[in-house]
Amino acid sequence: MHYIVLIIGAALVNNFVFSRFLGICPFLGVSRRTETAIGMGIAVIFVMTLASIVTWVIDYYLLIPFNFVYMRTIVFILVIAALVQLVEMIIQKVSLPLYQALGIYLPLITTNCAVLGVSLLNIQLKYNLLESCIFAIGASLGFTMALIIFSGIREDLDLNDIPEAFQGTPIALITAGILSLAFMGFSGLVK
Amino acid sequence: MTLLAAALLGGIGLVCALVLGVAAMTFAVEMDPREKLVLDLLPGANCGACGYAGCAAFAHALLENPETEMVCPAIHENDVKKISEILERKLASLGGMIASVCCKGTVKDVADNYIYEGPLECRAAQLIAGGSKACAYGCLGLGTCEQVCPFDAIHIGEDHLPYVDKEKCTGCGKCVIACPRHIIRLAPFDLPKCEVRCISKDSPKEVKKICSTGCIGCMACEQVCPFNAVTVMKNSAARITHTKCTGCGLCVKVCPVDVIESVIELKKASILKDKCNGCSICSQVCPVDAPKGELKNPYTIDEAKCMGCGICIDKCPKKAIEKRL
Amino acid sequence: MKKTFKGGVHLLEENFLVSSKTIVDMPLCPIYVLPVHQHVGTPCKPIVRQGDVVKKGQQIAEPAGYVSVAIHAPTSGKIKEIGPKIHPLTGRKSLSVVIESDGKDEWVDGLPLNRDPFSIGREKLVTMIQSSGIVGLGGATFPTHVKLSPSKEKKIDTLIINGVECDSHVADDHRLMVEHPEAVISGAKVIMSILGLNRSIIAIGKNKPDAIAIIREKVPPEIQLEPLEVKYPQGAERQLIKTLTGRDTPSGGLPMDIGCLVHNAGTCAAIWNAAAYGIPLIERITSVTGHGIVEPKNIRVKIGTLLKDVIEFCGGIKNPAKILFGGPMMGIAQYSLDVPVIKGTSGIVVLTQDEVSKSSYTACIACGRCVDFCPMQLNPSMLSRLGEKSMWEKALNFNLLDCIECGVCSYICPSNRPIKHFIRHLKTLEREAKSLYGK
Repeated sequence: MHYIVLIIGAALVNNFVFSRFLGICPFLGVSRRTETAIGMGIAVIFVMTLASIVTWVIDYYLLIPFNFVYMRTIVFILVIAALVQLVEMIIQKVSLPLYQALGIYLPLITTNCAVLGVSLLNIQLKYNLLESCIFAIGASLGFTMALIIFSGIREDLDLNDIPEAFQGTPIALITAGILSLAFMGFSGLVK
Repeated sequence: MTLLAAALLGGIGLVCALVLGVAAMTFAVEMDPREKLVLDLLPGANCGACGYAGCAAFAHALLENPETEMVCPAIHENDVKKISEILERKLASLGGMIASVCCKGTVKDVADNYIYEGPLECRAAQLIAGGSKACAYGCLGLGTCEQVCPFDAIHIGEDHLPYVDKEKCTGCGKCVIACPRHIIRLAPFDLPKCEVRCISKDSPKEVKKICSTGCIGCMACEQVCPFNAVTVMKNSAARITHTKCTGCGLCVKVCPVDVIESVIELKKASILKDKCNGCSICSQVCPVDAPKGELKNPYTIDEAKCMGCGICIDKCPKKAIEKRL
Repeated sequence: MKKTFKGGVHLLEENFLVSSKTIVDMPLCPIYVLPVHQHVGTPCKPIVRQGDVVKKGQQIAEPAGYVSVAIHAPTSGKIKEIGPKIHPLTGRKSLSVVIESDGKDEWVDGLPLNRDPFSIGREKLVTMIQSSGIVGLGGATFPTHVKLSPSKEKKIDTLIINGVECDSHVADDHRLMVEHPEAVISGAKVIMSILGLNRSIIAIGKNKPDAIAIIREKVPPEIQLEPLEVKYPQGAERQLIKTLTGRDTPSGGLPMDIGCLVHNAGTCAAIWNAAAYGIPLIERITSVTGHGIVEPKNIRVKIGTLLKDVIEFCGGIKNPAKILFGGPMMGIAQYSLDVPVIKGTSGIVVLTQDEVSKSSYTACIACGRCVDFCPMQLNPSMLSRLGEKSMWEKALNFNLLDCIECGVCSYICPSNRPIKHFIRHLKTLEREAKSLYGK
């Protein structure tokens, strides 16, 4: 039960995009078409889970014992970047179709603040390894969902006559704002 | 402490680097070497403006699908040339070409067959009895070219005719394909000096009936052109051979329906007084009688008359005529 | 249970203007214009030259390919010109043969003959139908001989004779069935003998009680009479098959794929004329109607007669806004009176200024009426929005190509949106892209 609550909390109540406002760059960048949004979403699920496990391990066995917690952010950035590169290489070798499907999005995630955010939050919220893992899955599911919902709306927005000043990113941001308001409705669902 | 921190960070970095290095060797995948070359030439911003998920995907598409066009808006022209060489095919949106609209018939000039009330889309309007404009070669003026232009380079003016923004047009040819009446053509950027804004293939009688500014095939332009650059064929609007045209503008002046336009402004001729010996050759060759003077005395050019055709410059035995700066 | 299909609308019925008027022959005109492209498929090739003398019924253009039919001189006279003239369907100039009538209206040698069509033999009948220039006379003008030669794998078991005539103004098939029921029935028998069928259905709209009564009296036992509810587009091929047999024509398929064949009542009569008397398709019955015409009439008109002559014969026009070839739902508006009546002209409808909507369209309010009424169960609302942005690739996901262009969506749209026009626009874009990239 605890883990289900954790997932719902991370995916809906504290949605990374709509409540925590993390990962807005790929959220706006890769949400033009639903297909690319799905590809990006799957890549994020994969990387976020892996990154949170690795960073948790590094934090627990390296940073805390040696009392280097103040260097957490910079170490995490380094590790995540290297990890993403590694994963990209492995996928390219092991499964070319998978690489072609999401390999393109992997470099984009390298500097995604949502990935770093989830790693730091894991530590801040004092989760254990399993909890961090579940939390990361929930958070990335929430991110994917936000991306897919938003891309659907944007595809529909293309059909409408939007005033010139609002065309493109402005209307996308306005829509994202309204969508964010809608997600506020989940607050209080999980404590 | 600081040293230890640096060492730790360096250590982690080193470990990562080692792992990555080993992985790069272990998991090396062979790919088309050209893909890497193309990818290096692309801007690498992964902006996604091309419609692909990043530069790598676009490079891949360029190699895999021979119909992929150079849709990257951020790339430098020289790089496009290099990519064309690598791919051994010409990429369409190379700079250097420019769209030019071959119709001058505004709503006032051309009769309408009927009142059109459908969607404001030329291609849709063309479906209803071939478009409302009586001339089958006339611009419908509903702005499909403006809608399809990815570079915001063509705009419908107040007279409901499209105008090309020379600064922005990349010659991608989207409007050329979209125009249901095929009146937009691509021409090399610096070549056309004069253009016939009509491509009608109707008989002159028909053209005269429906359009006040359509080419009526009167041949005046063909006769007046000193360079044989204009040809008029039966039941076809006059055509200018751009390689022969100097842009002198004589045809523009004689055209009774004002369908020929000067695209560039030419520099006028001027006579260097100290070199001119007053041989009068220039006044003999000039098609508009611009050089004035008395025999054996230095001539002058009447600026109001000179069009800058440059004939006198070529003919002057003393090389005494120059283009005015 | 009422036999009908899902969707469709009840139109304001205006058939009464001509439905009780006897067919009259149109007198000879001085000029006839025959475009070489009067059917779906390859345009045919003229085989006469300028200045040639032709007789009524003489072939003047031969089929250029399989999906192509011949064209014949509607009267005797001289070929005045072979050149581009306005075509009523495209509105642009297309190659046409112009015949100047000599006023004698003489038949070519040997016509009309009198023979027993059932002794001719199947294959000969089919080639004869092609060389007689017969096409679907309901308006689609698809060459009839192609429909009569199904491939071996496709077994046809049901012939449907379409006398529904669901568009709101025209009554040419109605009058044909009332005045010449034997021609329609005999034509159906000829088709049945060609295909070796022993069953066929003749469908007639319930708004034509006199036609139903006469056909019921004359119809032989192997032909079944089915009076159908008055609804538009009941006369459309797919809807008709669904109603009568319960079979669904697959997306992108033909009625042939489900063993059905639909022929218009007028086509049957034309087949009978060609088979029994050797008369090629040189005239047809057309309803000249609408509130904008002074004397609405049903006329037997020679193919190639100019619209202005027809209108003059029918007393002229009053307060006109639109002149349509075909009914108000499927018809094509004309901008010139110099267009000729062609094989597919089932009606000439003149609408008055008060009948034509002139307000421009507004945004889609997503009310869903078009979705409810679409006889093909498509989503016209979405298609029209995609049409506004010319997004044909996405429209393919909404089954763009299944649209039968009946126009019901445009008819009931409260925002006045020209939905059918948008869909045609998208279809054209799709076709052009296909030819451009060969996908």
